[in-house]
Amino acid sequence: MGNVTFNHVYKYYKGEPDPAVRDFHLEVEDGEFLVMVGPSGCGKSTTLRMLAGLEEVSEGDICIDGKLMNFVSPKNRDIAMVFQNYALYPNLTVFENMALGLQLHKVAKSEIELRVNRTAKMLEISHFLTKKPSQLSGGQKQRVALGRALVREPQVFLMDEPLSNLDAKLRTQTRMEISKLHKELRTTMVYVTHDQTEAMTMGTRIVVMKDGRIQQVAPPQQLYDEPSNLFVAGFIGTPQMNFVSGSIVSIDDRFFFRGRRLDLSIPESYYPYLRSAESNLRSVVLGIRPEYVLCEAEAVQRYAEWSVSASVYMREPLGSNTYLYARMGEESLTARAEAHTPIEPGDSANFVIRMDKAHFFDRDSGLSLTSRGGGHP
Amino acid sequence: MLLTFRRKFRFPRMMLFVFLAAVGIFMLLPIIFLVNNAFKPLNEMFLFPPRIFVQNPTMYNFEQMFLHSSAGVVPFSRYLFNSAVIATITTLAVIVVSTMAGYVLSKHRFHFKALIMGTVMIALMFTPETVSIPRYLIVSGLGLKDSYLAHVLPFLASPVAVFLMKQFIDQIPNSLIEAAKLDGAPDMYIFLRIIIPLTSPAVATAGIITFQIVYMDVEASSLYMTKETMKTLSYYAEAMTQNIPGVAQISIAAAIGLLMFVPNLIIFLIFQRKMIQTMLHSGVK
Repeated sequence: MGNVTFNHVYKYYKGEPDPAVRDFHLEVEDGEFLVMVGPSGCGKSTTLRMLAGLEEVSEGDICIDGKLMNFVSPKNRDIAMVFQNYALYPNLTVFENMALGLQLHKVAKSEIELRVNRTAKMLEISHFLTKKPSQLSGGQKQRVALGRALVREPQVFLMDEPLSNLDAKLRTQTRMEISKLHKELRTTMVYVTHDQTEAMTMGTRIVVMKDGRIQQVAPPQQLYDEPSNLFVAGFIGTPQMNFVSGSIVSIDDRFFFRGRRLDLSIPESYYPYLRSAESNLRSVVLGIRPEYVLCEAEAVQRYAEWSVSASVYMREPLGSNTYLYARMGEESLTARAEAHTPIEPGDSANFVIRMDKAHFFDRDSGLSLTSRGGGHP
Repeated sequence: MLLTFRRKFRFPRMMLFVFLAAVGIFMLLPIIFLVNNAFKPLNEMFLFPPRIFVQNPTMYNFEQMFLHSSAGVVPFSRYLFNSAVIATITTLAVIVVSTMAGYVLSKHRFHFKALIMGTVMIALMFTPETVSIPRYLIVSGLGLKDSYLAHVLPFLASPVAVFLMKQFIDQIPNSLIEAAKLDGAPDMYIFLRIIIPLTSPAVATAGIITFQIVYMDVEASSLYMTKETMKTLSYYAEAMTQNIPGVAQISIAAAIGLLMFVPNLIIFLIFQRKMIQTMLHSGVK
C-alpha cells in the first residue's frame, strides 16, 4: 500500500556546489511512522518536499507503492501534507478548507460531507466547522490542518514540523494525539522535525540527517543506546552526551582509556571490538550519557576504579533530579544526580564514569568503534 | 474612570492629537475650498482678500456650465459616457493584468524573471511625459487613433500596479499555494480562488490609483483623438476652463472642478478601508 522508496536521491540547487540532499537511500514501510530529524539546513524538509512533489528530484528515484513518482504531479501522488504554518485558506471556512481537496478530486457532495463530519468528530473540531481560520487559536488551526490531510485518506501523510508553532503544553498534547491517530489509521507517515523529543516519542523509526546525508536510521531506543557516530550521539539526548578526548592503550592484554586527567579501565566485553579496531585507538573520543556519570557516595565506592575528580560550576535542579555541570581541566562533564544532592557549585567532587556504558568513537571519522551499529556491546 | 481618562489623554499624547488634527484640517483645506467655491456667486469669487467659506450659496456656476455645454457640438453626456466606459474598462483590465503579472512574478520560477522585474522597476521611474512621443507613434502605428482601445491600451502596462500586486502577493506564504497544489488545484484555480480573495486590499488600491489616473487623463484625448465624440470628460473640463473667455471661465472652472472631484471621492470612499489595509501590509508606504 503506502510504502515509499528513496533510491539514491540527490537534490542540487542552482548556484550551490554542494547538494542539499545526497545519496538518500531508504525504504519506508507501509504503516510506518518515520521521523526525519536533524539541525536546520540538513536537508530533511527538502527530502520531504521532493516526496511531496514540491521540489524536483535532481538524481535518483522516489517511488510510492512501487510506482515511480519523479515526474508525477503532487495532486496525483495520493499524499497529504501538514505544513508548519498550517497553510489554511484564510478566505474559506473550516469545512470548506477540509472539503476543497475532495471537491477538486470530484468526490460526490454527500460523500464529502460524510467524510468531513467524521474527521471533524474524530479531531473534536465539529463545533467550529463554519468558522474562518482567523477566528481559531493556534492549536485549533493545527487540528484543522490535520483534518484537511485526514479527509483525503491518502496513502502517505507528510508532516513538516507541524508542532513547532504551538506552545509547549499544546505541543505535548498534539504530539500524543498524532501518535494515537497513527495507531488507529495505520497509514504511512513521514514526519520532519528538528525537535528530538518529538522524534523519540513519535517515530517507529528515526532518520538522523546532517549536511544532506543520512547519519543513522534506527528505532528510537536503538538510536539512543547505539549511536553510530559522534553527531548522532551528540544530537540525541538532553543534556547532551559527555565527550572526553583521549586514547586507548593496551597494557598486558588489558585496555585502558587515557585522557589528560583520567586513566580508566575498559570492561572486557569491549575487547573484541577494540582488538578489531586496534589501528584507530590512538585518537579516540569517549562518550558517556549524563545518567551514567554518578556522584552518589555509594556508587563512588562501588565503582572506585572508574572514579574521577572534577569541580562543579553549575547546578540545574529539574525537580525530579538535578544536573551537575563540572570541569576536569578543559573537558566538561555533565552528571545526572539525585534531586537533593548536597554537591554545590564550587565543590570539587568525585564522579564515577560507568565505563560499562561508555561509547568509543574514532576522533577523525567520528564513527563508533564499539559495534557495527554503534553503541556498547 | 478619571484615572483612565488621564492615562489616555496625557499631555504629550494630547499635543500629538492636536498636531495631527491640525495637519488633517490643513490637508482638507483644498477640498473644503473646492466645494465652497463651486457654490459661490461671482462677486464672492473675486473677493479680496479671498474667503474659503461661501456666504450666499448659489447654483449659478452649474447653470453657466450646462449653458455652455449645451451650446457645444457634442453633448455633455457623451463626454461623461466616454469617461465612464474608459475608466471602468481600464481599471478592470489593469487589475486583471497586474494581478496575474504580480502572481507570476512573485510565486513562479522562470527564466529572465529578474530581468522582467528590473524592467518593471525602471518603468516606475519614467514620468508619463517622457514616453508620450513613442506612445503616440505606437498608437498611431497600430491604427488605433479615434478608438476606445487607444484610451485603454496605454494604461494597461501599469508598473505601479504590477509592483504593488507583486509586493502584496509576496506576503502570501508559499505553503498556502503548495497546500492547494497538493489538494489538486490547477494554477488558474489557485489564482482565482486563493490569490485574488487574499489580495483584495491591494486590488482596491490598484483600482483607486488606476481610476484616478485614467479619469484625470487628457493625453489620450488630446493626442490620439481627432473626433470630438471620442474625447473624455477631463479633456472637456480642461477645454472649457481654458477656452471660454471672460469671467464665465472662472465660474465654470469652479463648477466643473467639483464635478470632476465627486467620482474620485465616491471610489475612494468605497475602497478606503481596504486601501488603508494595503498601506499597512505592503512594504511600500
